Amino acid sequence: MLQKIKKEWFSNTRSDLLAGIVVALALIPEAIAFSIIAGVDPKVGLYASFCMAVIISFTGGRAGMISAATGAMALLMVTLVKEHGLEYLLAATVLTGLLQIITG
Amino acid sequence: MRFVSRDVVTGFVNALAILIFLAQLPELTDVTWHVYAMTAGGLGIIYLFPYLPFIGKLLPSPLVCIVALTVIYMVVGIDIRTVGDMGQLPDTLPIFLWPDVPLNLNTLFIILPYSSALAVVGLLESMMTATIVDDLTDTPSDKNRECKGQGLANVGVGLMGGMAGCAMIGQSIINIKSGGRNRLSCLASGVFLLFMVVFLGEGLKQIPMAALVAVMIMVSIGTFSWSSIRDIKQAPLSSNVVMLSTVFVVVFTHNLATGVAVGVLLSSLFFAGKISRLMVVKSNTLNETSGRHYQVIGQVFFASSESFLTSFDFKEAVENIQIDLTEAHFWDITSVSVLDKVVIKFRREGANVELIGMNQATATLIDKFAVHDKPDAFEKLLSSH
Repeated sequence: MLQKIKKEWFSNTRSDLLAGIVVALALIPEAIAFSIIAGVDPKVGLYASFCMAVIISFTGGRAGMISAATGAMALLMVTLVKEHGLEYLLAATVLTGLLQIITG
Repeated sequence: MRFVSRDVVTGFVNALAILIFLAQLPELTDVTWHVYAMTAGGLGIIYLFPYLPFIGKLLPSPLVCIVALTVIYMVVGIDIRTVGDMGQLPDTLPIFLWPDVPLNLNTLFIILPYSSALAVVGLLESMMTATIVDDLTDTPSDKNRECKGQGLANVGVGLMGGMAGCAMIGQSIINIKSGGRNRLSCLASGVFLLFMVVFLGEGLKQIPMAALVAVMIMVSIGTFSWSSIRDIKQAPLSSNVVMLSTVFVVVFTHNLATGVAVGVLLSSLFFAGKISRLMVVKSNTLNETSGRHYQVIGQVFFASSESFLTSFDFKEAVENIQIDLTEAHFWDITSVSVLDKVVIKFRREGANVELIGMNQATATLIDKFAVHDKPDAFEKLLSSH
């Protein structure tokens, strides 16, 4: 168990941390821009990118893949945000997750 | 996901690129020339910076573009829109919050269509990205765990006040190329992101929108599959139709999920059409007596039943008909009922009909649904019309 955790997490520490910084720098402008596409405050996309990256690093099935707020998803939310507001977007996000868990 | 063909995926990424580009146009209309100059300069930095010796490889050029344009904006002090004008930036860690919506069916009906589209597109893009990362690193991944993981992450994101997300093709490639391999790289990117955002909050507000537009135009150009345009002449027609329909439907409806659905539907139809054309019925004379031997080869199903029916000559005066199904496979009720029709029509003309060599699956289907060997088969056939 401990061996497995060590291998999955800490077998490439230095490179992983450096790559993490590069990705974080590239994520910030995109997260802000995708929030603007969706029509919400930049903080919604930035929080999304933070939470998504942190949670998926534990729950994901593909190590080394980055998940965060994306343009494809932002484009689908535009009318929901325009007609019903941010709170409905958050509820829709939770439901999206539940649907994906059922599919998986 | 297995039903999403490569043409649909290509159509999907092309449409995504077009939509991201179109989403930038509001920032580029009714603005002063400064914005155009900034955007053009930004694009110049993004595409030329990587050619600089040493330093060009060290820093991501979109970041250099943003820092440079922000500094220019702060020094020159022109009046253009910045990120600060677009809304609130985070100043604290995100907090756990239950979405403030009434928990009733009405709410469910509002969000369900959006959630289903988001779920489909999110999984589609994540599976695409996972395959790319598998190829880049030559290692396998657990796709089912990834689906569940995406779901758990989105539930978490929604409860922490974020918008739904999924895997990112561009960022994942950047991560792999920068040396990231393990789970730690993704965790680190998230933590560094929040750290920088919370501590650089004031600086972020000063980023001119023109810089973000330049980055998004780069994302759009990088997302578009240019080779699909180059190969459009060589590719088969059906593959082009699927790809272009996916693009048009998405750009028209602004909904990636609808486009994927149309693409999947079209490619399934084309496939059914192709397979149905592979069905042939060969006709030979039977040696001993006056008779005819029909050999059916291929897949008989709803799309090929019509041509199956017309392959037989019912008016020929023969005593014995042998239909050889060794090389054939019957798939559905339509095909069985059409076989009924053939057998009964021959019997009405006074011929003896024998079916030989059915495979197991076909035999089961025929046992269950065929009527030609049951009493009053002829009346049944007539009454069904």
